[in-house]
Amino acid sequence: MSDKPVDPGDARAAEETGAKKEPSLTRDLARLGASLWHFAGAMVSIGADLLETARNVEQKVDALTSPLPADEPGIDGPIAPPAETDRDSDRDLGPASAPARLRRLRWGTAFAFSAFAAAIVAGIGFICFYWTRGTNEQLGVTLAIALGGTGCALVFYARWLIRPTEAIEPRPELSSAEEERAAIAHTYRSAAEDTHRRTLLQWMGAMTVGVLAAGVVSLLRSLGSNPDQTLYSRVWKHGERLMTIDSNPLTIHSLDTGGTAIVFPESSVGSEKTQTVLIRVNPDLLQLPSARSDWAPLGYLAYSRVCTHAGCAVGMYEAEQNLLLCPCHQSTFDVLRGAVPTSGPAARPLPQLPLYADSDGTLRAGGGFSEPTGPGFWGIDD
Amino acid sequence: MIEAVGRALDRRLGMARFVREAMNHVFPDHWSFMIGEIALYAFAILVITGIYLALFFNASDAEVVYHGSYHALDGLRMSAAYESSLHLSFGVPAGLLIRQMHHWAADIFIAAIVAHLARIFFTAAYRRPRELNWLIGLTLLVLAVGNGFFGYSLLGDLLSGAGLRVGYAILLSIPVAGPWLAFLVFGGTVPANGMTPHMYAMHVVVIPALISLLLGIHLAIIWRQRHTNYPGPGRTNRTIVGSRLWPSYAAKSLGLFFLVFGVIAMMGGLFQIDPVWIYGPYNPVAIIPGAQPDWYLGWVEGAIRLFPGVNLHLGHWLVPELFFPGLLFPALVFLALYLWPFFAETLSLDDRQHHVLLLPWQQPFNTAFGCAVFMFLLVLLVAGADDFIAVMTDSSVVTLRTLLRILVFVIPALTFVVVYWLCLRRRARHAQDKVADEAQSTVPQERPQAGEGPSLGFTVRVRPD
Repeated sequence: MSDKPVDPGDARAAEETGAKKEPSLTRDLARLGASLWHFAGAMVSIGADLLETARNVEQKVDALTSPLPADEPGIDGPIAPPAETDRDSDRDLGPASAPARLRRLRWGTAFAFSAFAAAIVAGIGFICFYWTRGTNEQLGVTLAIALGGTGCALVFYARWLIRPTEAIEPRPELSSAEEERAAIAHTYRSAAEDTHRRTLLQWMGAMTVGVLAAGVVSLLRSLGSNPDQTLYSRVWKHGERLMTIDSNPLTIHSLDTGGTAIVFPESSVGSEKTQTVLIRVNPDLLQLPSARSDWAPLGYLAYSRVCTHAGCAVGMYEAEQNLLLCPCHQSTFDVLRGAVPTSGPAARPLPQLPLYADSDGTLRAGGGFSEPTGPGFWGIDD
Repeated sequence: MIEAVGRALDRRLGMARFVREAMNHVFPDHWSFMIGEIALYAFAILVITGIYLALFFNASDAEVVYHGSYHALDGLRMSAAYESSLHLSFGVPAGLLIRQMHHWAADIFIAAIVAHLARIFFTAAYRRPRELNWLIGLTLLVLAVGNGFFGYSLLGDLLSGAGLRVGYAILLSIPVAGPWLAFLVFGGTVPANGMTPHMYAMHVVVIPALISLLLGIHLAIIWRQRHTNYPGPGRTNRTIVGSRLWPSYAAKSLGLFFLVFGVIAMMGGLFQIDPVWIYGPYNPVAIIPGAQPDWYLGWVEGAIRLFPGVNLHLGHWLVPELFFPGLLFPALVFLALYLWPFFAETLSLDDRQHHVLLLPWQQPFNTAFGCAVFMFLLVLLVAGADDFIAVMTDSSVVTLRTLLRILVFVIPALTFVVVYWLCLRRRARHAQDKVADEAQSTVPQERPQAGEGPSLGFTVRVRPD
């Protein structure tokens, strides 16, 4: 149809010239009117049906209660499979009486029409909302009604406007006949007999495929680097200053007792792997292993901030209990005893960083971490 | 018109016979058979919405400074991937709708697969000749879960960063090969440049292609073998009872597609999911308390939390604590599922072909066992959010975790006993009814005559208990 507004006079003229297949707005309108008229008729008769149904409860109960299922069928059921696959043998499940059939038709028409109509209206709404930059809710609801309405209409068709039938068909035999298999085996063998140097084909072919496969798999090597170089790293070098994320060095005056800070070695500030938590505790409470007795000047302790369990940032500190807590799986580490795990799923302590304060009070690393940082792996103890 | 096209095609391809067979194909009518279809349609919706998202998403780890339409994050450093997902959510009309629909569709996809799996399990539909489809279906579940993880990990937000770190740590924990695998998959330690492109290729090409392929085979096998039937009149090992593909089943099934699509559109419009702009961009130093994976990985998360911190030292080699709950446990669960049909076949000494389903009460051990495993996984799923529950109930995580470590074994054990007992009771009652029915059919009973009382259209059966 053309986009120009059609003058009714023009359309009538077109009809008078006998061009019956020309599209015409009036005829479409007339058809729409007729559809609406039918729809209205359906709605009216549904009203009448509702009254009538009240009197037909008994019949309805009959229709709704299907026969109780029989006991488990044996390998051979009581009903022999029909020989033909035609639809003639399908059982009609629809109501037998003409009024009941008519009722199905009316209900079905009304519901399907309404659902389609809702879908069309909502679909138009969706387009309008899209072009006018509607909210997510407006777009979602209109799209949902457009799609859901279409779905409902189809289901209503299946429920009321398509003759309900039950088909019983024989199942196909899944396995092939023995002769057929034998024929395949024969063909396969005869083809083998027609081929010379079969052993050569088998061995050289297998080797070629193997080499090609190895070649293809080798390409995957390019995806990542060699893990050895980074996994075992102790991150800090002797003498490196402790920097904040803004690259300010920390001194023995930076924290009060109970205070914490996130620090990095000056060579790699802001990196995932090098993040370190600096805590100041009361030095009298320390219970570090004797080998680490000089690692915590003035109660300054430094541990890797990467959890040894699953690699999350151990981001919480409870000053009262001197516990570091990982928010991912709630492992806790006792800061006073070298960050050994006290509860939760972690099994290994957080690596500790030896610290010392230089002559002007700047905190520096006394070496690398006590262990490789991060979650455990096969060769971590090497 | 359709007939003309059909004729033209048939002259060239000769497919009339197949199409005729196809249109007459019989599909059983039972609501539980729609669950698999919901999964199928959710996948179709994932593909449709996913293609749209791919037109806007930029799978790059390159660092950019944000100056987009979401002003709360203005001036922050973030990955280009995160920037493009913000643009998709705020700058593209209907972009947020499609993104949320995609995420909801993924959750529904996996939920439908799991429900479908449960239906197959509890009705013993996996029995011969359908073991193959059981294996393919399970593989589809694994692929779907993997792709879900890759999907929400792509966006470069803080939550997905936490998930990736755990994923990296799990991969790293594999004995012998772990470090190499982790570095190949993630391109180095997380966060590493190259990780997002790797995951993107997997998420939009490799895994969807595999899913499409296996789904095609899954459907072709169903087509060849026909569906099973629930027990009932006329339903035997040699028959298939239901409605024909054309027109009634086609209308129903197409209707279901639109309904699933509609529900997902409604969820995408009304329910917020994965609001990455609230989490903020990934930042190695920041933490996100209460971080949880999507529900389909929640049971692994729960296992990771409940498993005690025990390392296994083999000489000077280490099997880290994370390996057991994070990888070995889910691997064993899936291995058990893969082997189940063959285990059941061996156990019941039954290798015949079955096309009529069993009802759950007809197989008490399997049903009770299945329910127990289900409850086990459910407790783990709850444990995956134990910090959340501890905050809500104002209790300590440590206490709650001790309780859950007990419940995770007690609840399944109780479930097994109760379900087994219920099945046996139901079976005994059925046997009683059968005897009573037989007595009724051989001995003529006095029946109420027509007109004696109101006919209800069904018989009320009084069961002596």
